[in-house]
Order: sequence, then C-alpha cells, then structure tokens
Amino acid sequence: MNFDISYTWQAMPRLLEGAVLTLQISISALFFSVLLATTLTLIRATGFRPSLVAIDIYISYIRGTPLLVQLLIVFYVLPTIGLDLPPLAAGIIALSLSSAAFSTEIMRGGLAAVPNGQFEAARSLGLGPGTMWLRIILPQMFNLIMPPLVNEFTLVIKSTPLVSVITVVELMRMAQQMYNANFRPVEILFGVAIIFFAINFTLTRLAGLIERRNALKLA
Amino acid sequence: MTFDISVIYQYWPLILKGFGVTIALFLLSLVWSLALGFVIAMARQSRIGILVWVAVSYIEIVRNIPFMIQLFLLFFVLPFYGLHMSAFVVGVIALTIYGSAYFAEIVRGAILSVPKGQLESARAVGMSYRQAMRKVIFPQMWGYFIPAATNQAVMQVKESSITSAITVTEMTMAAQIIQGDTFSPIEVFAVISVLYWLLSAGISRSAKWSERRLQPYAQRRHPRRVADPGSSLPAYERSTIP
Repeated sequence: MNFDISYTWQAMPRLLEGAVLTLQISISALFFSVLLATTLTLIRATGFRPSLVAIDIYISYIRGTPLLVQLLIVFYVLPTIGLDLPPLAAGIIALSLSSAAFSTEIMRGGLAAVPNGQFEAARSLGLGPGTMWLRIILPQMFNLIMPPLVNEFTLVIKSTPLVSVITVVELMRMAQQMYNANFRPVEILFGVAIIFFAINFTLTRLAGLIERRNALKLA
Repeated sequence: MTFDISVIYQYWPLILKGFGVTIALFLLSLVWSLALGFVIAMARQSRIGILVWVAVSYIEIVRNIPFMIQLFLLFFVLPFYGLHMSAFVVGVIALTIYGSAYFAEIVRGAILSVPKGQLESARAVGMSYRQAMRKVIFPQMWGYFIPAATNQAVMQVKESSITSAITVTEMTMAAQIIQGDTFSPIEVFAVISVLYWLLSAGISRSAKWSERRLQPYAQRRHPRRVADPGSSLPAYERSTIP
C-alpha cells in the first residue's frame, strides 16, 4: 500500500467541515476561559485568604493532571450528580476549566506588569473600584497579555482532538470515521495534520506580530 | 452519589500497573527526548544552512500539530513501512518526538540566556567552540534550563495519558477499563488524578532540588552584579583576576 495523496484531497472538504467545529469549540472554550480567568484574577486582587488558597489549589490541580483525565471526569462524573450534558458541552466545559487555570496565570503576569502608579492615580482621582478595574487596569492588562493569550489559544486548539475521545465529531473524530470507512489512515491524518499546522502556524506568527507591535508602542 | 472505596481496593493492582506504565512511558521518553532535543538544538545553533533548516522545520512541525494527531499518524505510518511495534513502543517514540522539539527550544533558550560576552571571551582566550560550550556556557545555563525543562517534563507525563487512545494500558486506560466494569467513575478518577498530581508535584520537587545543586555558579554571581561590567563572569573565576 502506497501513500496516495489523492485520498488526502478527497477527504479535505469534510475535514474542513470538522475543522470548523474544532475552531468553534476552541473559540468558545477560550471565551469562557478568559471570562473565568478574569473573574479569578479579580477575586485574587481582593487578597481574601481562603479564596487565594482555593484558586492556588485549582490551578495546581489543573496543571498537575492530564487534560484527558479532566475531560473524562467532566464527561463521566457530571451525569452521576444529575447533570446530563451532551458530549459537546462537556468538552467545552472541560477545555474552558483547564484553559482558565493557565489564563489566570498569564493574567497574574500581565497584572504585575501594569505599573502601580496606574492604581494610585485612579484612586487619587476618586474612581471607584469598578471603574478603576474596567476602564484603567483591565484594558492595559489585556493589551499586555495579548501575545501569551494567542499562544494559549493555540494550546486550546491543539487540545481539541481530545474531545474526540468523548465522541464529539470534530476534526479528529471526523478523520477517524473516514479512515474507518476507506482504510487510508495515513493519508487522512496527514490532511488533519496540515490543517492543524496551518491554523497554529498562522496564530503563532500573529502572536509574534502583536508582540513586536506592542514593543514598538512601548519604546 | 456515594464514594465507594471498595472499588479502588478491588482494582488497585490494575491502577498500580497503569501507574507503572505511565512512569515507564515518562522516564523512557524523557531521557530520549532530552538527548534528541539537545542534538536538534545544536543543529539549530550551527552555521550549516541545511542543518538549521531541518531543525527549524522539525521544531515547527512538531510544535504546531496536536500530539494526538502525531501519535495516531505514527501508529498507522510505522506498520505502513513494515515496522510492527507494540502500542507502548509507538507511545514512547511519539512522546520522544514530541518532547524533543520542545526540549530543543528550551536548550536553545538556555544557551541564549547566557550573556553573549561569555562565549566571546571564552573564544578570545583560545578555547575551541566545543570547549567554550562545555566549560563556559553549559554550566551557566541551568538557571534558565531547569524550570523550563521541568515544565516540559510535567507536560510529558500529562501527554502520556493520550497514549490510552492507541490502547497503551497506562493509568488513564486503566481508569477507563475500571469505569467500564464498575460504572463508578468518581472514585477511580479521583484516585488517578491524585496520582498524576503527586507525580507532577514530585517532578517539580526533584527539579527544585537539582536546581539548588546545579546552581552554585549563578548564586555566587549575583551579589557581585552591582555596576560592574565584568560581573557576568562567575565570581570564582573573577577572584583569580587581580
């Protein structure tokens, strides 16, 4: 059996269909991840001890266990406590919870890079905490963390094939279904690899571009 | 929802065996990917155009494609060329390839983290490139290398769970088997995630320990850094210079 590239091209249209779902999953996961991470960052900023400890344990747990295990926990354990979720929702929840831990760490770095004078100036102008965070601190923080956040996005995209394990028909599962039908796994997976490479390579370049632009702005 | 510990008791041998396979996957792939990563980093740093090009493409390709895709590709490609291997061996090879690309970047970053003047002065006092690397650059790069490499080592433990998808019976696979038998996912996944967690924590802990042992250079260097242009030299060397 020889490598026959025509199988790759044949598979492309349907693979791209799967890629759309992969991107949708990644974008939703990143959205919820940033939302949760921002909340955790704000809670952290209050300095309330028990919440600090809880957030640290959460981050340490997520960083210390495989995403696949977290995914299976969400998929198997939530139904036993009465939450029957479709696989797609379980996948997005697991990816968001996992990515949120990393995003929170990114935001910790970003927040530390916002000069202290910004807090002091906001307070001395009499701005309330809501206005200060929403209009002064967070915009600057997000500007600073754009490059690592784009990198985090590529990490989320790279972890989406895992949701194929819990039967979500995204790019990977689509490919599996196709090669189970025509027994051409190498050609089809090659196509999957090309698609992932194209997406991630573009995004990492984008992150580099933003980083350079930010550096110019600061100079 | 009840927490029935007897499930764990009953299936403990299977979990333990899975844990052993996870550790074996991790250790084997760690050693090989460190070695391979080192070689790729050297190729990347060399001045031979074709070597640099090969190293850069290797790194970019591996880092931009999800591990699971690489794993499945390898799983299907090897038999394609008549190489029939057990799933475990395929898992080790895939983890090695995956890890080596990241380790190559870490080694490169570590080499670049040492001030440029170090290599230049080593060359200026007549050391060969090799000598300069071995005696001047490598001893100073651990401060950057160890934290980054630890991260990657922990990543590798976590990625090893994906090999369950190609039927390697490591810990995650063991958990899935038990969950299929008993329908009690909570206990099983709680236990294996704690085991993973301990493994990751253990790796970080031993890395901190080795950092203390490998860092005498950096620690002795810092106090002397104040407004002294020669301070990037290790203090013990500088003390011999009048």
